[in-house]
Amino acid sequence: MPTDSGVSRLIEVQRLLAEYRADPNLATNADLIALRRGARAAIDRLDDQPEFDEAHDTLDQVGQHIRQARPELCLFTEAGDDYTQDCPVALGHIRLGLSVGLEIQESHCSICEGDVWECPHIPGKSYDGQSAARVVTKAKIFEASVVSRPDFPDARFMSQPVSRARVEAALGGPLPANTKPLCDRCLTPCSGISDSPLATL
Amino acid sequence: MTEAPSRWDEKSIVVVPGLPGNLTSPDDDRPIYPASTLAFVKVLRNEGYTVLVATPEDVREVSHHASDEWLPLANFGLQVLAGGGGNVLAAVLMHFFGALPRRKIVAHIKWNVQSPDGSVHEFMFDGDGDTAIEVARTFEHSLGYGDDAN
Repeated sequence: MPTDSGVSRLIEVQRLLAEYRADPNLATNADLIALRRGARAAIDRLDDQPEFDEAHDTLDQVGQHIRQARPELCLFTEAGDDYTQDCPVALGHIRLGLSVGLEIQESHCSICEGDVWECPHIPGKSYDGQSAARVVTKAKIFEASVVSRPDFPDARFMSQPVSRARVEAALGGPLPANTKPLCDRCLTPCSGISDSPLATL
Repeated sequence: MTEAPSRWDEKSIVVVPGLPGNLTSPDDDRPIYPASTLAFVKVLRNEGYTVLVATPEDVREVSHHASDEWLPLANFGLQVLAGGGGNVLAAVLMHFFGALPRRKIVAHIKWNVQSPDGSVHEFMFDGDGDTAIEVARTFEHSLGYGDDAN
């Protein structure tokens, strides 16, 4: 479940980060992108848990390492005349997610595949090492909300817009032709987590 | 499912349609229950409580997939609480929370509880699960349960 997998993911991210720091040439770009995603997946599973601050610190360390070792992985993505920020480190500082309201129309028990109301298995309880759950096979979504603690830990924002004007204001002038802006967020001390998408850049 | 004789049964916990708090729901008038209803009913029956559902042939459940737990609305009859030392509501919450996978729980509760003199009192709570257990115990004692006579 979320808590345990968050801790195990955090430990794995920390192990890999130590390896990559010791030998920066060990990791490919794909490895570092995966590390960044892993650090976000860890913090996204540790809201309100004792390990949250450690996960936050690890996320910042991963961001700093990648920014210093492979700055090309920290470019904003062009989106028309403007840009998007897709970095899991930056987005991981936004403690918001998505929640859907749905009507359960058909479901069955994960253990016996029978009627969940009639079978003896209790959702969440373990039977011979197998956790019982309700498998929803048909549902009707009637709303979606932005919430601070989504039930699905990965139901998060994957991108946020960054206007060209904002980039140029930060640079103090127009962006030279054929250049892409590079995010320096992780080179400065972390300004903390936020529940507002616009406060993280 | 067991047939519910009415929305009040002195010997039972009767789960009734509706959602605690200001949750959104489908835009029609059919009765709805929170998705926690299934686990609530099965966990408590497994612990020996008599739990009935007010509309057993039409348990339309809605889930909001946030990490909060919206417990089903329920009516607690006098005999469910009598002899429980003032700890029945707290025990119900502990049994239910104990079946959940999370360490930290934000709970939303709205129950009707019958006091020893037969009057009905509302227990509403929104917040931390551990606090809910303590508040439920205090509430139940305030109704007179846990006294020697009960």
